[in-house]
Amino acid sequence: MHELSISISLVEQALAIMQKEGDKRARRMTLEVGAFSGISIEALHFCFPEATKGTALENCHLIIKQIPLCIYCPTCKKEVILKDPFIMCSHCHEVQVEVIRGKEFNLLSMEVE
Amino acid sequence: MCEVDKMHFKVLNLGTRVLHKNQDRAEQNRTWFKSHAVHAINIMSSPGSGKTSLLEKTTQALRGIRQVSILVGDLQTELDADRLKKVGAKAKQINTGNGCHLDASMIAQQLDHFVTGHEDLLLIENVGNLVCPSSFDLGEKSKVVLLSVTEGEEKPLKYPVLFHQADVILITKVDLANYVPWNKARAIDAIFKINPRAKIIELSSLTGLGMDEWLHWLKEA
Repeated sequence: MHELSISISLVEQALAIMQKEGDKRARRMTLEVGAFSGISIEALHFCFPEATKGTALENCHLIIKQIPLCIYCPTCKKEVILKDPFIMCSHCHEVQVEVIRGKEFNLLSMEVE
Repeated sequence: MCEVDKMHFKVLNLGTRVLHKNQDRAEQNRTWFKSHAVHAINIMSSPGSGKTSLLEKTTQALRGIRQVSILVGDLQTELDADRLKKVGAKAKQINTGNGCHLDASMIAQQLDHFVTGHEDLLLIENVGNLVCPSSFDLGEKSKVVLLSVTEGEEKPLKYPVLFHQADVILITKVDLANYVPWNKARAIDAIFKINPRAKIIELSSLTGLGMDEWLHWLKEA
């Protein structure tokens, strides 16, 4: 479980951005987390409030957009969203596929004042 | 970059990678390894899968043939580095305290110091953990993941992100395969579902089975 250290790093990054922008408080933070990023959304929701305590991000509402695992299948010539993390086309079972989405872990936006 | 709403809150549109600091450092490490012609390998598995035993045998097999340095990550103790030094390895322990993985800055601190740049190989034994190391690129060229027969065949399905990244998957402790409920076909099938491109080597550090194939891969990779 590395979500606490990740949350602390996230808060540090956010504080640096807010300092640069001259903001005092953050109301919302939006992240996108891919299903294949290795990041647990539940653990992040659990750890984030702890990491924000005593900072300008305290009580900041964390919104997480989940990105499903998506591959490009060269046989079907299309993008396929996978429910399970099995890296093969769920239509034709081709395994030489490319993961095109699902590994993201990005800070999308913040609402600050 | 921002829009002000009627409540005086403004929206900062950022779109930055949360782990960009680690990623940037990993790229710097990668450039360093490339310019010094050092092949860095990140070795990962759950605790007790045989990483250190593999490194002991690898050290002994490559003595006098290739220049090897080893970095070993653990939360506490110097035990693994001591084990490796006993068999003649140039090894250094990195204690992560409570950290569950190595990160790129921990490796960067060793470059031009313990890791001189004269090595052919830098073997990095990550903290025993099948979850967290998958999120932290160290700048390595190759990733090796161990799966011991005592852990069961389904580990790749349970920890897909880490197994998906592996260039090589070593099935270790195969000398025990007849004594534990291990189904090789199921294991291979599980690996194939998660990572069809990985090279699979069956290996026993105890008997030496598969060591030639592993050493051959180290030489060619």
